[in-house]
Amino acid sequence: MICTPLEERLRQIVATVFDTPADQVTPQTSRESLEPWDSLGHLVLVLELEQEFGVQLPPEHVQQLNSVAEIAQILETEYGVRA
Amino acid sequence: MISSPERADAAASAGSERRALPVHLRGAVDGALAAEDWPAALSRLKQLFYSSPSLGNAQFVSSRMARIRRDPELLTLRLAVARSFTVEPVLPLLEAAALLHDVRLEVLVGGFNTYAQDLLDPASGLYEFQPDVVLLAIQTRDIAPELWQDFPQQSETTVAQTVDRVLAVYRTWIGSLRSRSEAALILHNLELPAEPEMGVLDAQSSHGQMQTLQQLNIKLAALAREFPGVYVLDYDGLVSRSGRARFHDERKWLTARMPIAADCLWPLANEYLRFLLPLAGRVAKALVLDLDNTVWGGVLGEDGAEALQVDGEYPGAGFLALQRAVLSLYARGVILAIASKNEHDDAMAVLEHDPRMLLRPQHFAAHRINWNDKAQSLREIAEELNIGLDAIAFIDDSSVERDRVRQALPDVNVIELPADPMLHARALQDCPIFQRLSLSGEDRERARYYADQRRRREVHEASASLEDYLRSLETEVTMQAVQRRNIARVAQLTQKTNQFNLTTHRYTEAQIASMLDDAAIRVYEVSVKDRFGDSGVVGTAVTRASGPVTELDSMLLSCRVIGRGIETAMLAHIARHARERGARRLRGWFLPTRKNGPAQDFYRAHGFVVVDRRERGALWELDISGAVTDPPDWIRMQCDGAPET
Repeated sequence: MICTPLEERLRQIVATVFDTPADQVTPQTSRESLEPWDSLGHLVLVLELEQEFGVQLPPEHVQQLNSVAEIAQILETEYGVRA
Repeated sequence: MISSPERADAAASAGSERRALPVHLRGAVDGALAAEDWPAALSRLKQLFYSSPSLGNAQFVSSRMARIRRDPELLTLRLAVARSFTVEPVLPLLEAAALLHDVRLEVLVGGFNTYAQDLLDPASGLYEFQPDVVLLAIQTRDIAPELWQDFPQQSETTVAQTVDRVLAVYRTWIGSLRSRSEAALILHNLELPAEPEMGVLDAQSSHGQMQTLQQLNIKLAALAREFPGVYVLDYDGLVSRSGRARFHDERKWLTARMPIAADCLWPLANEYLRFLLPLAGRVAKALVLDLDNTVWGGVLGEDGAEALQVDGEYPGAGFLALQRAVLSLYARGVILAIASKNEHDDAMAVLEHDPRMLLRPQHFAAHRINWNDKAQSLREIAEELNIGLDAIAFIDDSSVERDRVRQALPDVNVIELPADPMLHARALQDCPIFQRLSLSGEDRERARYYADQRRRREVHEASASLEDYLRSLETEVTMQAVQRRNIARVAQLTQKTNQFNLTTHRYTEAQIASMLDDAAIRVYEVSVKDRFGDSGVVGTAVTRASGPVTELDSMLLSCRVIGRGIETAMLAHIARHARERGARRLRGWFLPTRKNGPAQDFYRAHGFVVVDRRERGALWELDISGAVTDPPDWIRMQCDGAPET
């Protein structure tokens, strides 16, 4: 598994928020593949991302954050976050 | 909102320094867990969470706490939440913080906007859950939308009707809960909008939008006071402390019914803790303070007394603010003590003589000002004050000292302080373990009693003999029939006194009150004063007369005043009083417990003989037909208002 530094950090965040072992989270991990990542879980994850990266994510972006790779992409292109 | 890349960059780079700590600490926690070093794991978890109370860290704490094997009295508190918005993201923070205080929360969240049914329907899930605490979290815009928006379109009359309607429904809900459950109720008050719809004109009107909501909140608080166990949570105050403009995330309200910005979830969770921890009895009784760079700015031993910073200027004002915050805890009954690495006499001289100090030697019940390890000092202070380490909070600007204490004494509540001294007072004020939900006169005076006690000890150590010492105290004991206003205090004494207690019978307030209607029973209250101060009501006795025999049902004395002959003075009065009412014998059980050793020789020492012996204890008897014991001559006795001869 080759991860960018940002994806690596996001894997840790996703693993912690959903209390899942980090080695089971990959850039491809998504709302479909991870059971605790339901709609309430998604809200908690978004709030954690906002705190962690000091951003506020509007609904347009919130609905695109469907996998670790997508979160990395939005954070990078829309907010200039690198790691 | 931060959305421009430059600002996100700035935030992220500021964040990367903050981040280094959690990552490092999480690793340290897992390392300690692997080594089964529970105290180290626990202390790291506390440090991690209090330095960065994020949702991720909350989940981390909860998952790791489940793996720590320790043997605390983990208390379970059942919390039912009736709400009008999505509170769920607050709960992981609340649960993690509660776990760090040895409280396991079991939470039931009611349906979305079903709060009225939850409270009114006796068959609702809320009542079935049998909660210890109910939280009623309703927003202004849900319960009184006409006061939140479209206010200008309404007449004074319709506004008044809305206010009455809101108060009436709260009264019905509270009444319904009170008739069905003994759970404590925490009630959000109503938030004011960020901006009144009429702008600056609103403040000029006698019936403006803001004033209407403020008055509604005052009436809501008055309503809550009518019921026992109902507490108002000043939600509007919380929003305003956090910053009205920054508290909300309107987009999340519209998309997920979650109105609170990510950064403000923790302040709300902490506000809930300020109620839940006192309800669970998890509070700090004492605060132990460092001196250098905590109570005053600068290092006394290096900078000298003149150079210490504590005044109305920068940065001395930060230290002064901390002293003021500490004094407000003292006024709540929090006992104060010092653990400082300093020359004892130099430090005391500053506290005594520096005119800028607000904290003075008489505020402190114990001090360890020496060069010893602070963990050792804290252990000694706990012993001296006769309280558990878990009842102690410790404040110190040095992260090294804090870490040392966290590691050595994981039960002590170490307060995490930001580096900037201007923020220290706020950190102390935010700390939920100093909150009290009610305050008796005794509570208010407690910190002073303990401080007086230290001065007594100092005189004791300087006195040649015990009797000289006791004489020098000028003790005055007042013993009389319990006064109505002291019934609660007397009941509390029967519930809490373990050491000098002959029978350890526990009584509730209602039981004590009903004894007053029985002519054969006499309940005494005993208060003690001396030249160092007034200790208030510290003892009680209950007697039951039946013909020639008066039975001593209970007799106890707080450990604050034992060993001064007060029990002899009490016995003298009880015996004399029983004889006046025709009794010839005084009888009483001694029922041994693990803790009442200090009372075991009481009967023997006062001439009683054993007349019955059972497995649970012995019955002792004293002939009072002739002369009875006198109070010790160093005690001045007042009985029912008049000095006894």
